[in-house]
Amino acid sequence: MPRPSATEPAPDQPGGQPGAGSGPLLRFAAASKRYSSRDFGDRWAVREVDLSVLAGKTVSIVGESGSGKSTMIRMAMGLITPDEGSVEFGGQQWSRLTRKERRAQRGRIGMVFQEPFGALDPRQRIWEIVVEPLTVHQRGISKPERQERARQALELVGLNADMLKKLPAQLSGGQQQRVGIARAIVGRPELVLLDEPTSALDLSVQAQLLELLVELRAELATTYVLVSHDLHVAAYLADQVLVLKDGTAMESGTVDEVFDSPASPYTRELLRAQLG
Amino acid sequence: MTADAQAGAEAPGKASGEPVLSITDLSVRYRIGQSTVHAVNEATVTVRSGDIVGIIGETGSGKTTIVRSLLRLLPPNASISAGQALFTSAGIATDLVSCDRRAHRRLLGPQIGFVPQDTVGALSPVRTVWRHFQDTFAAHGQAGNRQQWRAQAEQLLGEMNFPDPARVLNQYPHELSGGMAQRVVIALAISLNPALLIADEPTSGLDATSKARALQSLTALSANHGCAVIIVTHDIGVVRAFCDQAAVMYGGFVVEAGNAAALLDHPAHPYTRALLGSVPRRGQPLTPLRGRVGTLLELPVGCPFIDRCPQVHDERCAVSRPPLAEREPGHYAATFCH
Amino acid sequence: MIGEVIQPAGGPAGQPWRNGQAATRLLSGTRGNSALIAACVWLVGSVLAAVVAPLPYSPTAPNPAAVLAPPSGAHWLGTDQNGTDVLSRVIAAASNDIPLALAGALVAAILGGAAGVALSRDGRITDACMRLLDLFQSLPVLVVALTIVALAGSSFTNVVVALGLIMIPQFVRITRAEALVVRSHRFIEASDAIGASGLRVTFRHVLPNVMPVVLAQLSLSAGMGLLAIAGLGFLGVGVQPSTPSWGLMLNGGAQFIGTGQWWVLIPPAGAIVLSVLSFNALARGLQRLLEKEPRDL
Repeated sequence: MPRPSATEPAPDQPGGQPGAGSGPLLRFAAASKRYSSRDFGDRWAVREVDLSVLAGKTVSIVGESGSGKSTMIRMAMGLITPDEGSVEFGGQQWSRLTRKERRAQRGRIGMVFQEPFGALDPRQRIWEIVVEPLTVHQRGISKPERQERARQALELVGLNADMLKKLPAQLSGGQQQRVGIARAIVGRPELVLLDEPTSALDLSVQAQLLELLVELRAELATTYVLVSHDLHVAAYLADQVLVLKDGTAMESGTVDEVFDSPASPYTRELLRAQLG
Repeated sequence: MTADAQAGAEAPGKASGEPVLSITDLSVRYRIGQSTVHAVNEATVTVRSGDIVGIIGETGSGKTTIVRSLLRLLPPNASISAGQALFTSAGIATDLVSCDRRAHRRLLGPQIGFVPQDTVGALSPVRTVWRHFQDTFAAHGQAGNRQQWRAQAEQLLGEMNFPDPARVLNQYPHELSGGMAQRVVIALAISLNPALLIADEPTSGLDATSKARALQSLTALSANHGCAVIIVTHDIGVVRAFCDQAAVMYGGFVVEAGNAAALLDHPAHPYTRALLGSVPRRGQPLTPLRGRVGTLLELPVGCPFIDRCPQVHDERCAVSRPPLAEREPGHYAATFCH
Repeated sequence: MIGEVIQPAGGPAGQPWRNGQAATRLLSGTRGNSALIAACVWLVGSVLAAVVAPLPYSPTAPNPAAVLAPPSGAHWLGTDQNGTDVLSRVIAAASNDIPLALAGALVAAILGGAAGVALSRDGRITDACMRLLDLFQSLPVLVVALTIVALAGSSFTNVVVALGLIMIPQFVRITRAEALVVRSHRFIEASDAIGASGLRVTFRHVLPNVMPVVLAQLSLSAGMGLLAIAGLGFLGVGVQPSTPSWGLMLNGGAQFIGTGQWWVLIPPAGAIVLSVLSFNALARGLQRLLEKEPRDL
């Protein structure tokens, strides 16, 4: 089977701003990650995957469990290094950076996790949680300033200032996830990674959060990389889609291309299996 | 609300049998500290033999509480404050709410099967799949010897679309994928030929393909064995694809009920409409519901949905609770709106 | 979230929990906390009584006129073989034994807890340290304490150090186990994703979440330490003979059981039992209280 091409827009497609920085914001080049185990031998979590994400775009990585999508998003963050190939952020390969440089680069990326409550330190106040990226990367800001930035971030995600001093357990699932989003954007990152951000939430709450993500994207002009097992969510948010199965890229292209004329039989099967 | 109100609700093109389960005006409360949570309020649902009924709801709707109250699987701080649940099988009617414990226990298994949400937890990690079947048959005095039991188990697994049932029987739960484990649990629940099968979120956590397969197996199984099925779910797609009848719950109340296809195509209750509008679709704007479910600490005076209802209100909405009234034959909605 | 039993968010009337509210809940006598209150009253009260309140008689002054007097209106618990009032001596000993036990446990908690958190990261050093710990833990508590004190001499500090050293392995294990659990949570990964350094993650996220376990174990270890101190005292080791100590009183009182003067032995024994039970109740109560604090109901 021919390897699917990297996701890059055709020259005549509108995308990015004129004169934007050269090269994609995030790039996977034949990235592979292997896990060895005594009992089961080698298993490829991700195998020779190419993906280019241009600034301002939303790319969704779609697949079922075990497809490697969670591994990919951690590779995008530099938390997992590929065994073969490379992953570049902002033109720099994660594996070429020192640990300190990697940590610094993460200041330019925000991440939202699947678990609304689990992703928040249960013993910290909401404002402390939201403002952690600033505490880590911008040492100079005073505490009252940080609280103000937290308040602004909460406002952006539709939460009241009276949430600032609360503990995570006092919030509903939807509110907790909004806090997670506030934390991801408080440092105005260039890239936001979203690992199944709504799959643990009720349908109506999911709809609210999806709408919020669309608003934020317009307001902050960030790039999103979204991992999802739900094709409808991917189709709603993303410009481009990468379909993964067992670590291998099955298909990639714009949302319309993949949904209207899927080239891979696996994509067709996935589309057929989606209910509702 | 009496059971009569839902008499005559029939799916077009499929002959519904006699009611297997008639839940009438069921109310369940939880005591938390000094407060009372009204988890289920005056719920009325009818399940007929051969039907697959989907109970749709989100967190706080009461959908899980209502089925757990039927099975007496509620935590100690819960109590059924009103209502009844008449289970009829082989001509004998038992009220699941008020019957004594022994009578209730006798029903569980041979008459009422249960597929819990947590499949991993439902299977004992130290026993093979075959032992699970063996334990089930032995506990309920199933006729036949070991060979016959084994043959039955293999047949059930075959019906669940396992290509190699004999091999699966010898496997341990940790060797099964999520989807496989779910189908094993369904097979176990149906192994004693119950008249009613209750499945609590049977496909949450499963991939799209596993989900579809598990549900197909479930519905085929129910058709072959002639049992009625209640599927509790938050996934509208599941109800649309697999259910004959549907009931939508909000804030502990049943707000809409009837033929599944009709209900989902022409929803009468604003909540159902909003829920359907919450499904993301490519290229279409989303109109999400504002706010969240209330605390359920108080019984609402008027319509339970009034705080979030996007429609213009009738003056009745705030002062009186809309009853579950028939809109079209077999389609009921609890709202004053149109 | 799906299928969860509904619980109202926040404490009563949706108030956010604050550290002070833990104390309020404690005093309001919520379920199971009466044992905790009683424990605190005994532990704090006995130490305070010894330090602050005037004792009916001097706990150390001998009184040859009233040797081995049975309990009466003058001496509520009788007198011992030196004529010293038993009640006064038992109370005075509290201010010696209880703080000693707590101090030893504290030393172990600080050193062992820090080591446990540090050892919660993978590596060959960790493996080596854990095996050393196994070795250390195979030594019998009392024998080691005895040896240390016998070699270094009887003094408050030496006993604290001896106790502390012996109890360190427990703390290391328990803290490490809890730290490993905490590290498996998503919010730790979230901090890594933010770019926080390992040190920050350890101090800002792992340590606070490990605290409840450490505090509960602190109390339990204090109880065990108390038993060890009493054992040492019974063997005549540990503190100067002039300082009142329950263990020492046991030593003195044991010989009189046969002759019927039970009041020399039973009160200190009872005090030890009460104190250890109190430490256990404190541990249980702390665990429940602190686990519940950030959650609700």
